Amino acid sequence: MTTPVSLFPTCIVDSLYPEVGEAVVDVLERLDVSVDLPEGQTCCGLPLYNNGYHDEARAVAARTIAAMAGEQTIVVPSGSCAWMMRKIYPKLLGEVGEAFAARVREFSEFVAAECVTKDATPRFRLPQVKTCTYHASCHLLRGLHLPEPPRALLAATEQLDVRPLEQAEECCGFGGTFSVRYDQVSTKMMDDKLAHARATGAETLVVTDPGCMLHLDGGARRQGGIRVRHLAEVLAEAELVGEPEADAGKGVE
Amino acid sequence: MTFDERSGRAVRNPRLQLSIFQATDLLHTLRRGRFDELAAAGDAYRTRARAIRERVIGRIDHYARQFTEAAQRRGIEVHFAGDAAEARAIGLAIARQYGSRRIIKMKSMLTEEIELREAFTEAGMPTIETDLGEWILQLADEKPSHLIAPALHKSKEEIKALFDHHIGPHDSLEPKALVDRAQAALREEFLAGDLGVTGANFAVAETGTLVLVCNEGNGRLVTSGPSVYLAFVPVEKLVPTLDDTATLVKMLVQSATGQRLTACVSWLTGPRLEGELDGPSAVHVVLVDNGRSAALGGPLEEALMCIRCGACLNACPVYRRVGGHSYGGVYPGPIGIAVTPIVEGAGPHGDELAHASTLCGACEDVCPVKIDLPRLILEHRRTQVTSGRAPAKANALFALYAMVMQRPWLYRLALFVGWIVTSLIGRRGRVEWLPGAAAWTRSRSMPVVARESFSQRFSRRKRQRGR
Repeated sequence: MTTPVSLFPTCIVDSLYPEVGEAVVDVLERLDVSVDLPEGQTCCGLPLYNNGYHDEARAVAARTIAAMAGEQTIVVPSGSCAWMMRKIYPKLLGEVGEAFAARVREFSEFVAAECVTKDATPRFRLPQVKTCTYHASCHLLRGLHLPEPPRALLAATEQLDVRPLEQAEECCGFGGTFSVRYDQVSTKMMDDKLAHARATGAETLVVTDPGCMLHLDGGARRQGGIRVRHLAEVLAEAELVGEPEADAGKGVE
Repeated sequence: MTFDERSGRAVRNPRLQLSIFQATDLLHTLRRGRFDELAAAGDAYRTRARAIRERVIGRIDHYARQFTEAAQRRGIEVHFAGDAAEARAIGLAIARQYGSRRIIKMKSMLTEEIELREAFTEAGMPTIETDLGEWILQLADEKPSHLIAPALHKSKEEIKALFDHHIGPHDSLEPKALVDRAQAALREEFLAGDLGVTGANFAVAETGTLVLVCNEGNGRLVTSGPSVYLAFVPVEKLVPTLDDTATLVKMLVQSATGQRLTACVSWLTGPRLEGELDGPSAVHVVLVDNGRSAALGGPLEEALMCIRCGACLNACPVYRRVGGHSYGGVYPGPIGIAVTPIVEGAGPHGDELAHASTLCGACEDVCPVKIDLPRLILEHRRTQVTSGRAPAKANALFALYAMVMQRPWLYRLALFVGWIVTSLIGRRGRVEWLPGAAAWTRSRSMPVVARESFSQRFSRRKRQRGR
């Protein structure tokens, strides 16, 4: 294996969706990327920051940076946590935060840079045809301005029928503490998102953020009609077609 | 009522949902169409508009002085009001000075903020809103629910019923017929009004010009018919030059409705001069502060750059479901969250609004002056914490959260406790009801906390491979 990366699985994946973490590792290893999991990780601190507790968020951020010391690229299967690390750590911790931020890659961003070739040759193939639709999570789309990577990866997967989702770029209604503070509005937004997703007739609603996943999966299991899965889980079911680039992992800045 | 109660009612009202969705989606789509057409120029315009607004907010006192001098040279009497009560008092004094009996008004958010119409009416001077949407709301005794389309929450059925009640029955539900009826009724009001009142979209410092955009022509009638014209201008609406104003007018209109320009754009510079055939014989301008200068240099300062186009409301997934009235104040939507504490002062109402956002960022993407609204909302939340206004329960909860997340052993212990609790309550791997988190489980289940966390699984996998 070449190109070691450090994984920051996020606390939601670590505690509630361990299978997503395993899917992330599977995909990365298949791309010849070796994964290590530095000890002492907890949460990135986003819930503290977003609720106004900036000093506490700074302390948690400093802990995370200490736990993830080194030079390695850090892969995060969450647009929100990646946004926190890339955009907010520098605000909270200055140069130390900036140096850390420069190492952080959201999962789909990293994988797309690794394996989607310029001529868009499919690099993944599912064993049988599946249908899905994709919800663009806010922090990846608008926070980090990365609309393309998840879409490119889904498009680069053979035997995957990706159906367009109405209002795909509208927030799903999670919003962290918003989901419990104003749960009626949050639920209405979720209901609309799930209704749009079911209207596509797809089996799976693909997300890239464990926050959206907790919310949409929680609702979808009550309502039925569609399954919510992380992009990594979809890709982990596919086999890799063709060899990874010789200089895989060095292409990302 | 709280935001939670008001918004809860709104999301359970299918008719309201349809009205709000149709109107906001239309405005949002029109704006997007216009900006798609503009392509790269759209962003260049936004950058230019932003720079103008930054210049103004940086030297608001300078431009206020410059405007005052220029306006006075053109025969305008300029007044200054520190707060809403003072603004109302000045307005009343001017109306009495001229013996005004009937006031006609153009739509203005500032006059809503200072509750001007109510003050005039109480003082025995009937005041009529002449913007169609505002007039509908005056008949319905309701507040605006949107910055530029105040009655967007009303269906045509409701509007017809209102008209039937107030101006006599009629059988058509056609929008054209409704508008014709309103126009006929308002025509009488325009002729009867002896004092015209407006806000201002912009006030040009170099010339003392007031700029008004409107699509109904009522602004022209209000500012040219009555012999006295009175405008209320919030101090942040000052603009240095006419050239700057041209940029801002374009950005305002294109972001608000997707039009290139509104049907009318009025540039009003003082009363009728000798030899001129029309226009008011006296013009008064009241510059209103009401909390704005106190916000300069503070965490919410950037909100003063807003030009009130309403694009952030149309883009906001929360606004699109709860409507303007749920916010419980004058200014709704993402910008309302940032502006409310400025004009109302810090307090429970502003504080609850700070959390009425998922921080999805859709507002920032459409703002014509590139206000970083998610940042402002976060700043607003931070201020609550640092000034001691955050609820004790939240403080305790987040202090505990921070303590756990700084100690990996405690985090692992919390996961273990979480597993015990959720696996006792859960069925087949899912928790359907969680004490203390009923607001979550009302509509969503959650997974039972993993017995073996991802980190543990990863270590096990590594050990197995190592062997």
